[in-house]
Amino acid sequence: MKANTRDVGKVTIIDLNGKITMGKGDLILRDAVDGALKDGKTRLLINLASVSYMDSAGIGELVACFKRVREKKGIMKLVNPEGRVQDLLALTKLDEYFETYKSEPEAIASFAA
Amino acid sequence: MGSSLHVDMTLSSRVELANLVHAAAEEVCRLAGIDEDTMMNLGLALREATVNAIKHGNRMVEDKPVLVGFDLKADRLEVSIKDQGSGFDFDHTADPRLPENIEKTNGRGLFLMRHFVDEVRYTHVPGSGTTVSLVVKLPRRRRRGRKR
Repeated sequence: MKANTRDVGKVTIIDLNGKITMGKGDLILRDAVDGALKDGKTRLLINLASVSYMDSAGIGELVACFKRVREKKGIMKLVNPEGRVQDLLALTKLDEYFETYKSEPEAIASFAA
Repeated sequence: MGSSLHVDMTLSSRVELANLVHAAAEEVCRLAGIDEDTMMNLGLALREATVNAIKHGNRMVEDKPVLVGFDLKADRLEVSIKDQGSGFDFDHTADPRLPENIEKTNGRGLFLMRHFVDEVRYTHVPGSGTTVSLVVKLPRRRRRGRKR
């Protein structure tokens, strides 16, 4: 899996590409979020548009990242979960836990609210 | 091909080998003519079971093997995953969807397995290890060469 970080105004978007699974994808996600936090970025938007699936470790890492961002008094949201990823979030009821958006502009605007 | 097939794999307890097992599951499903959705579901369930066997069963001790067996029958595909661990309370695992568990970063593997396949069976033999079996039921029309 690959992670690319970019800023849109005060929001840092982490674009993920691939599978968030144990041993690699989960660690890449963790490093990307921790890297953003280290740079003082506390408004994080995880873009899941190009994530094909996650396993339980990947799901757990999303939760762990959310908690770490919260500890730093930041906010982490999700955008564009597709297909299986969307299904997994709904199945585990994490679609009610994470604030999730279907469009990037909408997600970015929500940080200002 | 006929309506039966058997594949055995022996893995070192290395988490990255779950990818290999996932790929093997997909190939077995292709050979069996199983639809893509079911194939994906089985692959994900098997990935969870394999990682559990490696991480919790064999405690990541590389030398301890995980045995994976695919057994295709006329009406089902059964995949067994055996580790050398001391077992777990299969019937009383916590529901990860409950409010008190939602923020936990682990504990979703068995829940996902149960969702993705038709049956999950558990056997523990003290001194021998633990076997989790995943069962995918197959439609009758999967039998090749028979016309109705």
